[in-house]
Amino acid sequence: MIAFSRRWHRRIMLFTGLQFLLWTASGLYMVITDIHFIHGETLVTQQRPAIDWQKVSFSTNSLLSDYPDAIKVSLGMLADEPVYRFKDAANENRWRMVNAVNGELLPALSKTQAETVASSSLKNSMAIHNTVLFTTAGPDEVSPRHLPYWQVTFEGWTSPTLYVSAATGEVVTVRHNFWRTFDWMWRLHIMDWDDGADVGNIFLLLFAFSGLFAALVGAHLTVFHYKRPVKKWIKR
Amino acid sequence: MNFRKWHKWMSLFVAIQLIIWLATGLYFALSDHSMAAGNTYRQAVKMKSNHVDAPLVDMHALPIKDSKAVRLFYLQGQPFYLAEKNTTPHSSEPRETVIFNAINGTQTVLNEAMIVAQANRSYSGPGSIRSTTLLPAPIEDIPGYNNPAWAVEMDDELATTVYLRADTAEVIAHVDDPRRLRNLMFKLHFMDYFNEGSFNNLFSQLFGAMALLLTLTGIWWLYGIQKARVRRHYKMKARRNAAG
Repeated sequence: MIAFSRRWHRRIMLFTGLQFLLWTASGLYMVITDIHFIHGETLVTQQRPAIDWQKVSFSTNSLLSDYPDAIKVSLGMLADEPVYRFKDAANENRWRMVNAVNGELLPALSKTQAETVASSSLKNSMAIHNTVLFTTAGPDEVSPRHLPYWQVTFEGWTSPTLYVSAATGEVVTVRHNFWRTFDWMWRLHIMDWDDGADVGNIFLLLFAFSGLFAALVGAHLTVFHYKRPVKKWIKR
Repeated sequence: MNFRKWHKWMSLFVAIQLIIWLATGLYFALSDHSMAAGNTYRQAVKMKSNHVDAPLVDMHALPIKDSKAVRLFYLQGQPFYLAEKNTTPHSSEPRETVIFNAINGTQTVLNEAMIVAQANRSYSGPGSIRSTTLLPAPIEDIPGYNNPAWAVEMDDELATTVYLRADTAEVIAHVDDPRRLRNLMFKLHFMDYFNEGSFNNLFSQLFGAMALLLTLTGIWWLYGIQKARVRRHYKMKARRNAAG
């Protein structure tokens, strides 16, 4: 029996050993790096500015009579100006912004505005490296539901990148190299090297099944190895 | 101490957890994700612009001068304002909020009848309500959620519970038996034995490091075994050739 376990532990590990290394190394990376840090919460300030009520003069009722199909209406700040944000059910459910001072419908965020929003969101100031607008498709690291958005990349070895919605002027996603590494670790962990979306893939099933068998026979070897010293120790 | 001893020692500590990791990993790969999401009897609560004819109290008139954001939402045809005193990256984190009736501007708290109506709107199953309870955080069924929530228990065969935010009656999750099983699997895989809804804990870090060491020493050992086997093979071959 022990010969069987030894043989199969060795044989299967020849096949799955490298994947065990990927599982344990990627798993360890994911558990030791704080998930809030990975999400960029240490990079940007979480508190939005308080509403400047002195400036709010366009009433909620006026907004609703101008845009009767508005849903998810909210009032907040965009840089120094109070703004209403809402989804326009009459217009492809698009996000809209209206100046809460004079009721003007605001155009999409300009490059300068996006850079101001991104810079003022940072906890520690950094120099901007690059700013790009994405309107129809963008990088994989940010959900397409946030389109259109500005990608503001800052200087620094972790390449911090803030995505600012061109429609609402809010920071919608924060990325940096530790997140990008985490994303790769996740793909290696679930053996989906394509887009990291498929946990139920055939490779994972095959390796998890054989790995589980190898671990079980390995546990048998461990029990065999420690049985005698433990018995001796108990008898003492 | 050589790497073989390290491998044996590490296996003694990690064996059971390693088997748990592999077995739960296999569960994630095999399980029906849509079923385990807990949404068997969940239906979308439609958001529509159901404005009332009566004028609303203006946001400006509310006694909330330190707010970061004010949101207008409708519940069963009635308008409410949600004032957020702090903003958090995730809605599951503690959030300080105040609710106002948007018709008369008075501060209010959503009552049980409104919660029940909202739970029913999001539920498509055959069950009816067994109990309704307001729970403080943390809540076992929804680890990681840190605000008070209403639990509306249904008497269906999956033991569905609808969880709703106490402040806005927004549906947080439907949790049924398949989802509870998935929660348990996550807890075991993440070693989240304190139900924090996170894998960043000391257990997983310690056992993760030991598992990595177990793997590295195992690979090194295996390399040694294979090298010796190959050498033996060629020696035998050479001997046979010399004899033949």
